[in-house]
Amino acid sequence: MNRLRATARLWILGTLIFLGLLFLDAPGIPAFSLEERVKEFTLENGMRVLFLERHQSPTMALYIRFRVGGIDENIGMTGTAHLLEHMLFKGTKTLGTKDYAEERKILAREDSVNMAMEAEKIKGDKANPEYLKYLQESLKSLQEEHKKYVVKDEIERVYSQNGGVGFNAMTGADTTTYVISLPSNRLELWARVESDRLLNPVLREFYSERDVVLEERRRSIDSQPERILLENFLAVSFIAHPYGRPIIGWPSDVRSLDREATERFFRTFYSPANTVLTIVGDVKAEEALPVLKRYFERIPRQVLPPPLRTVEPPQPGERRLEVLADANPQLIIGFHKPNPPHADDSAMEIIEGLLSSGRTSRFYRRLVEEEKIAAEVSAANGWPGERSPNLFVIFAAPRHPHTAAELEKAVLEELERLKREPVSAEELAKIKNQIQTGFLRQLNSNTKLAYWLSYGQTLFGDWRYLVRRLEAYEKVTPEDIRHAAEKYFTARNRTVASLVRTAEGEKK
Amino acid sequence: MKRTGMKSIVRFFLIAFLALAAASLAQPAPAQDENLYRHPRDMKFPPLSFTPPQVSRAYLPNGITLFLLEDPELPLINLSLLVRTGSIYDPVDKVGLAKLTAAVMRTGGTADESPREINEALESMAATLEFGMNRESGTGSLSVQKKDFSRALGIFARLLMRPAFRSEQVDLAKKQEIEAIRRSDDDPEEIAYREFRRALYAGNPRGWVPTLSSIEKIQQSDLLAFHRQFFRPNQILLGVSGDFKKGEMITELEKTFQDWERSSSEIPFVPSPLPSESRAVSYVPKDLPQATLLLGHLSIPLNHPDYLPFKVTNFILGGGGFNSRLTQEIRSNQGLSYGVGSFYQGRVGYGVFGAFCQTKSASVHRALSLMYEIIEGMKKKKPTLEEMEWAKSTLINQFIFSFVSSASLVSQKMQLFYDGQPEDYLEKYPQRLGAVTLEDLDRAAEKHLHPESALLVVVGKEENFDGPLSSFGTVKRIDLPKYD
Repeated sequence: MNRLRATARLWILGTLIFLGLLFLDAPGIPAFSLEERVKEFTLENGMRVLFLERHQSPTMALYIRFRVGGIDENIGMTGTAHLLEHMLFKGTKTLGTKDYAEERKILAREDSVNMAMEAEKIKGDKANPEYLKYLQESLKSLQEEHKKYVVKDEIERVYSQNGGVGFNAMTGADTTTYVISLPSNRLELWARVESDRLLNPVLREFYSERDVVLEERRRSIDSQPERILLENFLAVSFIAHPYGRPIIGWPSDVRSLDREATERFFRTFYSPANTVLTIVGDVKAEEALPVLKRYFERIPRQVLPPPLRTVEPPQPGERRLEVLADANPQLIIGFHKPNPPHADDSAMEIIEGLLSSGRTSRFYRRLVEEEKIAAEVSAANGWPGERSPNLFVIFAAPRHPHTAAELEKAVLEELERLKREPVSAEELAKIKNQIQTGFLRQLNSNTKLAYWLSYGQTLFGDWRYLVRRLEAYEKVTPEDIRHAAEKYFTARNRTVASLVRTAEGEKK
Repeated sequence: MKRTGMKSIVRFFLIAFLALAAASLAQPAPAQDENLYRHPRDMKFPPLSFTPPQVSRAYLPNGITLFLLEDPELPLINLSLLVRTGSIYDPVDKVGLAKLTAAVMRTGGTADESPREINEALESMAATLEFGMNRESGTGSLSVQKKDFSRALGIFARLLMRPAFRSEQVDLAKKQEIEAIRRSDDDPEEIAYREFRRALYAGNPRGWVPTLSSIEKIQQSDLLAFHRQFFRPNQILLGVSGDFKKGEMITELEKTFQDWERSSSEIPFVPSPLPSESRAVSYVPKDLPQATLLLGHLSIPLNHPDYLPFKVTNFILGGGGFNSRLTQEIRSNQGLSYGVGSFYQGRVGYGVFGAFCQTKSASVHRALSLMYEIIEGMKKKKPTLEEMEWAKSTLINQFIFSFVSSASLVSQKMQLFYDGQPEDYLEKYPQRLGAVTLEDLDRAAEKHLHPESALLVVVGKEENFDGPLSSFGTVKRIDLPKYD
């Protein structure tokens, strides 16, 4: 029932990204040609539509992905993309309401009370507590009154009664995705609800949902020391680019987000030209397309906002940071690198596999099995997103009584080895085979296919990028790996974050 | 747990959509355009037709029970294993033994193959092979490309039948487990569920938790003995799905496992846990901005006549997502929590009911009071017809998703068999669910919800709470161990 937590996706991104590949004529694997099976269309307003038929069960996975995420937020507004994602579950002018005309009057009053409250709060110590209390109570009674007009969570109710599963949404740094699977005879229901969500959204129950998001933040970050470490690691790694900001938002920003600005963000970024509809399952494209046209072409064409221009400047020297907490030590090491389709990204993807894929990987063999200094250690290429230059990241947890410093030294030695010794043909072939087979395992699932097709299309403007990316991995040579290691695994380009147990924690 | 159905599904779906189909026949062509502005609840859909795949069952001469489903979509084969064992068979002074046994079966090599040789062979084929241990079953899995199946199956079988448990790998697994115990207190949810189990199953092996000393005591010989006792062909269910021919697969499996002898000894009996009468609060102090709350009690088993009614009751209370009562009030109306809800798991011999919530320290008392009130409210403010219809139609219409993956369909069939469910359990599931009435729900809530004697676990910082925990029962403070 959880809407996938904004940043939770980050943890899986690294491991999933390498799966976004496909062999067309891979020796040994009978062709499973996406090229022949994916059908693509563009609606009049610029929305892209991808279909892939699979008839194993009378079900379908439905993904709507928008090219908007945390990095599109302005300073002071962090958390907007994610809060908006929550708000789009609250309904429309016809879904979730008993009388929208009456309802909107109350919503407008809620907004003005909130504005007055913000204006008072900003005074800090000089704010009048009596007045604030009065405003809080006013908001509360308006929320109470508003309930009379609300049909609670009606979108979810309609979907679940129709057999929907996995109704959810994910906000990432790069994209925002709304997902559900339905019995395949319900396509029109989905088109009706989703086109309505885009045409007539009503951000009702805004201020209580903002509180829910603050609880989400307390749960997924503030109560998890390793997530606090990660948040700080990203903030230190990126001093200019918004990849350094938390997707869920800084608490002070989230607390003061309002409905009007959130709506403005919606109108700016949820443009049809930024939208990809992906349908995978027991659906015939030629039958489904007219339905989609009828519903989604009602959404007017719209100009795209200007692209983000901020580029992270080259890192002029090593950065180190500590997070103190009552928890066991953890270590994160990151290196800046280019994002795809840069050729070096492919080499880094192979390096991820060499270092941490399976029990024969270099990290596991040396750090876990032989020296026994690590409880866990893994590498991930491509954090925290792929729309802009990103990071190659290593996560490690020392095994007591070994220290983070010992583990860091051993990890860095393994990176140095990549610069010195060329990778053997067998080791390289093993990683390429793992990537290829890992991708094959994704192909018997409607949801995974919808995930990757929509990802490729949204990020790179063409789902075939997934195929090209796999071909690029195939071409990586031992020299490419050595070259990339030399270029990016430098002290200057490095950020090291360490979770340190507080003295107070030890006493407890 | 999801449930699967067989042939009767087709009939079931026809019944469910027949009325709607008739309606759309009555007003033919323009119906679709009218839908454009129609409220979704009034939309009409064509009927679904579907013949679900059949999982076949077979037995090998030594007693292995096979579940097979051909699925040629991709050149892959998946094996899954269920073993009649579990961590409930841990010796009291060596808690953690069962889990270590499964871990080192995978990593500890065989008489003729070193762990490294096995890992290299598997990973060069990009095969994945794992063993695992639940409280009441052992598990295993293999996923491999069809062309490499025989070679990978050989490794899987040798590890399953004759693992060597090499001592350096036993030592590594113990060290890793000890580290995991040391780290388990870093996550408040993990703490809460662990303390909940300990209190709920007090006096029963299900409530035992591994400690540094229980792990340190475990020796290689213990793993060998545990494996010898439980990993025997007549205690094993083996599922296969993917690109193969059934007859050939059975022949190959029979040949692979032919030297494995069945065991004549019975699996020891472990009694079901006994309910506690007292309302107790376990409080675990931890300096966090948000508290984790978990309350619950033992409940009715899987084969109880009220199993389905209680499942529907729980769905309405807090298991059914945003429209369930706990989520709607505590999350959506009050904004007090991101993760709030309830669960009911019916198992063999007993069941567990629980409700959970995470909320900032300053609203713990308020959230807890609401939780108790809403649970108790299932008896006073009985489920409405609308709530019941929502819950039933959701569970019935979602049922088709039991068939989306052949591997998961096989796993579901195996689990039902493992739990001793009748052969036609799945076939009858939608009808049985459809037959649940409001009276059933009232009875289920009345008889099977006991917030007044529920255990409560709270992880957080009580100094910052908006009221004392003592108003919810006798508080037992549990201080987390401190390690050097």
